[in-house]
Amino acid sequence: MKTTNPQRMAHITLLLLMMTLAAAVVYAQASTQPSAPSTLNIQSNTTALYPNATALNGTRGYIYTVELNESAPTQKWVGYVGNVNGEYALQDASGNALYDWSIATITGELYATKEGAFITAGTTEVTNPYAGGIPIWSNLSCAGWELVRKESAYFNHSFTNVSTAGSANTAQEDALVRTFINGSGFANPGFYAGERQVTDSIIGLGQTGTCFGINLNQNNADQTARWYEIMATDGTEQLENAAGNSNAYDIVYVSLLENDTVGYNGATYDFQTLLPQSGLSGAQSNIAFYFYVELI
Amino acid sequence: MDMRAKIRIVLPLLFLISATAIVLAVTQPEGPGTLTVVNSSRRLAGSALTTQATAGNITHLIVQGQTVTQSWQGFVGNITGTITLDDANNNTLYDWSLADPEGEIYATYLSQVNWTAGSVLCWNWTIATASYLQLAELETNPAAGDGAPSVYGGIGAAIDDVDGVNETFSAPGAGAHSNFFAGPQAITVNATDSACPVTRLYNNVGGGAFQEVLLYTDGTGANNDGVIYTSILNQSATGYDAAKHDFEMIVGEDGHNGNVAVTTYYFYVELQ
Repeated sequence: MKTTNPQRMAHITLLLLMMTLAAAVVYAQASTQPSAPSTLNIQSNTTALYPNATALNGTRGYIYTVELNESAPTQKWVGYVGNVNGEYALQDASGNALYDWSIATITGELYATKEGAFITAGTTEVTNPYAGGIPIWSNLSCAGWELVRKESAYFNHSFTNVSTAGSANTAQEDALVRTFINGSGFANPGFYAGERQVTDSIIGLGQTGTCFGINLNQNNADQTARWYEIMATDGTEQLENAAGNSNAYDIVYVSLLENDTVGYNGATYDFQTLLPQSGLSGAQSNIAFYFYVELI
Repeated sequence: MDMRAKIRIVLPLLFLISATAIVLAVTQPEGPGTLTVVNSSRRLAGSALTTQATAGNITHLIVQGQTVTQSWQGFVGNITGTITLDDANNNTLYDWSLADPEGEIYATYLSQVNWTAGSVLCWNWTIATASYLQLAELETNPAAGDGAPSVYGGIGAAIDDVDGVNETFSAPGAGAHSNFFAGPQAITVNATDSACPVTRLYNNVGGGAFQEVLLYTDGTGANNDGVIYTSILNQSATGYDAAKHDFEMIVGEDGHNGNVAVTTYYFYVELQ
């Protein structure tokens, strides 16, 4: 049966309307970006302490030559390990899901930065520390040597000679500048932050070289095949002080997710990450980190 | 990594992160992982010297002698190891080799020490409070009613012995030493904080290369109230015997009047 022109127009209109709605839903978000997790639960919080002393008997008049071997807990770092659970969903702005998919395999990145909410462009680290705002993911690059040594000094990881890359050995063994390494010691396998690809040669702020990073332990042992963590930056900065004579660049610690992979203690995790804390002795305030995650 | 498809459906995510934090809320001195005695030695008694005696003579002699102290015992040595980020089961997330240790080594006759802030400070034996350890209680036989000389780590010396405590360590506030932290407690020398009693042990040419100070914890009861001998590490410094040591220290030990009993010292180390 032939359709009349008004009927045909109605059908076309309806079809166009449906296509428009479909397009609106499909293209509501132009690109993926890391985002804050919906929930983040601490399951346990442990460290190793040996409160008991080691006893030794001695006799007056003697000189005893002894050797001590010690595994001392670091004061400069905090570690997070864990799992990512969740689902993909096609949602509207109110969180209503049209459809969702369970996540079977976890791949992507966990991002951690100490930069909190952005205040104004003129704020300084002295008056408003860590006010760098949400990272600009499209600008993400690896942090070069200049930023690595500045970050190490910023956390007071006793880095006294900041002029050249070779002077890192003047810092304490667990200083940031001696922990995150590049060259033959580490290679970034590459990742995407949103649409931005970050390879081992993508260094921010015009610096040359390769990415600085570490591989965390697996089964209590060093290894270089998994558990990558890379120091990155979005290139934004705050002035360190009102004189404006130095800059504090925003650093993002990028941990590549591993799906249910054996971690430092033999258990399986999706992520492991190492984040710096103050290197000063005595009681120090904890420095909070903001977490983002991107699943692909 | 494969390039992502340029055209795709972008989906918001719902996810839950469950995490375990491996943290160190506060550092404090702790017993070393291993403590191995490499060797021990003491000065050997010299053979007698002789001189001839002639009847009717009065002979003036100048006698110079050395004798082993009966009040002190020495420990010297090196520290090796790692700095780690461990959980309570000693599983290591990451570790760093310790090439140049910095920090302190502590030795005390107290079997346990409360290292919280304010509990361990410089020993100031000028504080004339009954509950506060007095110099005489460490040096000599304590006053009647205080117990045996071994109480409070007494070394059984006489008040005027040349190798007594205040003859070995400077008076509170009179010396100078490096600033450091004993756990969360800052031990500093400045306009408001006086120095701890301090001595410097020798390198091979008699120079004072190794600082040792006397800390004190004023706890309740003899088992919690006493001196903590503290050696500030000096990485691979030339020691008394020309060998390289990270630390040298002396601790009190009563060997007077034929006392052959040993004193157990409890060692702690704090590295950074």
